[in-house]
Amino acid sequence: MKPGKLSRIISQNLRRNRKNLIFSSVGIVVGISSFFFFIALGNGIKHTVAKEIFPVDANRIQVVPRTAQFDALAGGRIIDDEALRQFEETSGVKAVYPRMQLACLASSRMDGRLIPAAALSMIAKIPGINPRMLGAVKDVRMWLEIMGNGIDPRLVQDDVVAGRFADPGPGQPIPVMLSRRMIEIYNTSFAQARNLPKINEMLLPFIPPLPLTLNHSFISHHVKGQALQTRMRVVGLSHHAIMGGISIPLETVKKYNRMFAGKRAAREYDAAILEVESSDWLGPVQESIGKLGFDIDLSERRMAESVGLIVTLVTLGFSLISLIIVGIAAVNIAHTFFMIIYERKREIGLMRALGASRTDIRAIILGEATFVGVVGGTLGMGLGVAACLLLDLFVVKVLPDFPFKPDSFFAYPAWLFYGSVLFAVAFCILGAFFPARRAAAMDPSAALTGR
Amino acid sequence: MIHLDHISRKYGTGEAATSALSDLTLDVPAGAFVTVVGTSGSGKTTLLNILGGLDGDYSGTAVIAGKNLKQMNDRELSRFRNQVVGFVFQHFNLLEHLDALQNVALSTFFSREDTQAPERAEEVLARVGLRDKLRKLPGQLSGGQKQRVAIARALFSRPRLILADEPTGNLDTNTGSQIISLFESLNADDGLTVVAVTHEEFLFKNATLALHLEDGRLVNGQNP
Repeated sequence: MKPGKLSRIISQNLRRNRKNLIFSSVGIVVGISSFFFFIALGNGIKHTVAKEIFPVDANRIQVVPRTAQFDALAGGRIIDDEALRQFEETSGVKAVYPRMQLACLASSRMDGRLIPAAALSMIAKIPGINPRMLGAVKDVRMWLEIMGNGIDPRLVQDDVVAGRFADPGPGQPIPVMLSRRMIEIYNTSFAQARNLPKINEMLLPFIPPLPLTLNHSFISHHVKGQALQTRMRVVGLSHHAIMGGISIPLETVKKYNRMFAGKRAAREYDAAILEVESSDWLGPVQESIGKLGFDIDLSERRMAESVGLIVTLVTLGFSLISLIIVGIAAVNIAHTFFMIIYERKREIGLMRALGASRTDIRAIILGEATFVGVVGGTLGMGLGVAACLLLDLFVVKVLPDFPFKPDSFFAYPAWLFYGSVLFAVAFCILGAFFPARRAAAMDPSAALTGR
Repeated sequence: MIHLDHISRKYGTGEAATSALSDLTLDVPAGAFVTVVGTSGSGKTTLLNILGGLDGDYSGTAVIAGKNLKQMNDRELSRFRNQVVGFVFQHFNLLEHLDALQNVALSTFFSREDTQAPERAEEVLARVGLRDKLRKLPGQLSGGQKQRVAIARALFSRPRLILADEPTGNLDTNTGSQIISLFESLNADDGLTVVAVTHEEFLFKNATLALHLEDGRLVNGQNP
């Protein structure tokens, strides 16, 4: 049967049986909407975990010196310039980004009263900052012990928003990158509790240089030599910055390590991030690095994978419930079509007498089921989107801020939209498959007499 | 037009099997007007179903319009029913949700050709005297009018053979006579071969061949 003729006959039949079919497709709508909702929710949470909480670059691995005592005795190596050169020469390695611990203690004494009035008036112009917050900034008195490390500027170049991230000239403040995770926790707990401004990229250019004292501690007495008073300027937020400390340019760390801890401290890196050509190279590169006497630190990746797996399993669980709903709806559709076929027995016999083949009869029934699937799937998808938007609206308006609270709890991959409709169609066709087969197999002479 | 050679048809299997047609051999030339009479269960409808390619579960050879039905697959048989045969039923079998025009043009859905369906349907409805009932639903028509719509539907795809299963069975005598006149006219004027199963043989005065079936056997085949 030609598609145009088939669609006309299907549309006639659908009009006749619309009440039955609408009733049958309710289950499809409910099942698909919950399927859409749970998949979008699972994707949204996974997205937040992967991008905000445990950001892991698929093409990057972190190399660390072997830590086990036995391995050290057996020839474990430190990461120095020679090791970096070997990393760069390893097949599949695209770039190497070394990281070095700041070997001296450091502290900062923050006093809100020392912030220039001009800086505060600039900050006041930023949307979301109110005068009460500026009052709270003036009242800040903090003594901080600071940990630091040095990172390769190439690694964070895309995250720099307020100046340059490179070894500063004499007398210039040290550029500092802060951890996004740390700032998220500060913003949603500390800042909220004390009515301080939330830190974001927009605010960074207006934050004046802050005091930093190197080779100094408020709590430890094991500091030898002179302290160095300097300043630091926050130039960006990055997932590559150290959690609970400051990340500064690698060359700057080398300089201060040489100054306060000796040449060896300025030569030893605590880790190196290796960027590989493609994820296919991850295995071979890991093997080569192992042969060179180093370990791969997979803790962050494993944590991300574990959380991702849990989210995936929970999502799958809920999706399975949704699919069971759709499956039950498919059984309902099957019942409806069996009933419709019983009612249309004579009509099917007549169509066969007028020239309809078995294939034509099957196509008519399956065509009707496809239409029910398309409509049910589209309505279910729409209902799912509406439920997602409503929940987002509720969460944004009603729930207080908490760390890593996303702008939306849902992510909508493109496949979810057409996948929802395809699922609905597939289940409707599955439901109508046996009725269609039975209709096509009817003996036309018997069907004509209603036997 | 019709060549049947030792046709037998049984329902059921084993000892429970009943014979609907037994060893029936028959030749009907094109343009004939054939009536088939017999008591209930004598095999009249079975014969019609075999002639129309609706029942393929028989033994023997059935060649209709030069086509051996046994050698055709489902698609070819469907095309045969669509193009060569027109069916008329006792209970009209009109679709209640379609008007007369749509009922008549129903077979166009299953035809490969893009027939000018509305024009052709209107033409055949005019041929059966229902030009003014084109948009009437079956529920708005009398029994005779319904059967005329059914005849128009059978004529729609210009078949060579009309198979009518008790076409007057649900009509009063007067209306039945009009319907038979219509069949006679189709046979005489349009040259269609007509095979009509009936209980009311007396109405078919102009039939060229009257077949009498009894327990699935042809008792006689003669010119009335």
